[in-house]
Amino acid sequence: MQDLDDQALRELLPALRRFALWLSRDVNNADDLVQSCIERALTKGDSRRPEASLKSWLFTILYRQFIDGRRRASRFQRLMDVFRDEPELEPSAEETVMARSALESFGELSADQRALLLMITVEGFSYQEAAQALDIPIGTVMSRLSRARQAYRQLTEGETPTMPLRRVK
Amino acid sequence: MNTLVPNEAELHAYVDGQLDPARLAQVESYLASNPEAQARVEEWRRGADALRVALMNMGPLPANPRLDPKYIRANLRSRFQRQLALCASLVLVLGLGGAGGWQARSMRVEATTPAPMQDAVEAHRIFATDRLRPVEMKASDGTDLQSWLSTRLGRPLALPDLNTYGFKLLGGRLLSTSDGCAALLLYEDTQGQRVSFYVRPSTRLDGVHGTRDELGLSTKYWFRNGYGFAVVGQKDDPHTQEVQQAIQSAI
Repeated sequence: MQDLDDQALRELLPALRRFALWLSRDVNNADDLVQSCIERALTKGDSRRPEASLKSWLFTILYRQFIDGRRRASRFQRLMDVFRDEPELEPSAEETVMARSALESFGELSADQRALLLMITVEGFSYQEAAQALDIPIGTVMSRLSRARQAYRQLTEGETPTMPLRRVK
Repeated sequence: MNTLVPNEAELHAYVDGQLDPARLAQVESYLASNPEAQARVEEWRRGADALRVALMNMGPLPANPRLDPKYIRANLRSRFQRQLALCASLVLVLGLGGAGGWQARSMRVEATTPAPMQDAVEAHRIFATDRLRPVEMKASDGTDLQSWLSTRLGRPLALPDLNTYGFKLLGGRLLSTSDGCAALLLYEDTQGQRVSFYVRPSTRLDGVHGTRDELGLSTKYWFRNGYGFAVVGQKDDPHTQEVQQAIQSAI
């Protein structure tokens, strides 16, 4: 338990919180996720693969907990929706119009797509690391990435973002 | 020039800088001569850049002290200790409850089901040690004693003759029990040792019988035809067993 360096954990907190925030789209839920992720990391240090970096290992834990939590919550989803406040993301004053729409578009992607895009384009994960963290084969990483980029592009271009994509064959 | 057409996965890898160096040059030269693919890749790249910029512009989230590893460690420790304490108290409570329950059970068992014919032993203890007036009616009253006890008991009671074992009948008395009237006969040998024969109504099943020793007394008891019988004597007296045997076969 003590072989985890507090300082190393501390330095990864912003990335973890960002990841959790975009998974859950709720500041409080996000910090709950991060907290239980770190608790788990501190108590289950032996679950870490020797070759995994601390960062990808923590992302793996956090994503698993998000998935578990979502699965648990889905049973009560209808009830929850009645009481849950809209997630509030205070945009900072100096944000550009472009940035706003980029974030809004990003927020409209599915949680899986957000997780993947964030890991690849922002956190600089390798495809292999992303595959491990999301617990999917690398082929699925590539196809999901492809779909995520397509969806993201269409959303930022303002192509009927609320309409599901229909392809006529 | 070797320019294998890159697949989509390779184009993504190109955008994400995850293409291995050997392939990188080939893909670059392919893109240089394929403006359509180039435009697609550029679009992905712009999207990725926009997302990076947008997220960085959001700025850091407000600090949350409860996420600090040090705080979480301390929290985990105290939670562990609390759980330990909880476990300990649970064990204690279960232990106390169990022990208490067990004790209560044995108390109840003792209260509701005393050893069979325990009242005979109590009677023997009280009256066999009484040197002044152990009996209400002496044996010298003969048939009066027998008819008195029989009437009150509700069944004819023969007064066993134990002279062959060296015991003379002292007499008898009536006692009250929760099951009804009980008759006690006391016998004495020349050394002053006494045995008692005790009879009372009982709801126990016929055929139940047994022997038990306690506090230097030996008790033989049996149940028959709605009555309970017991012969109590000194455990260390060799005649006691003979007398017990004789009375049981006589009744």
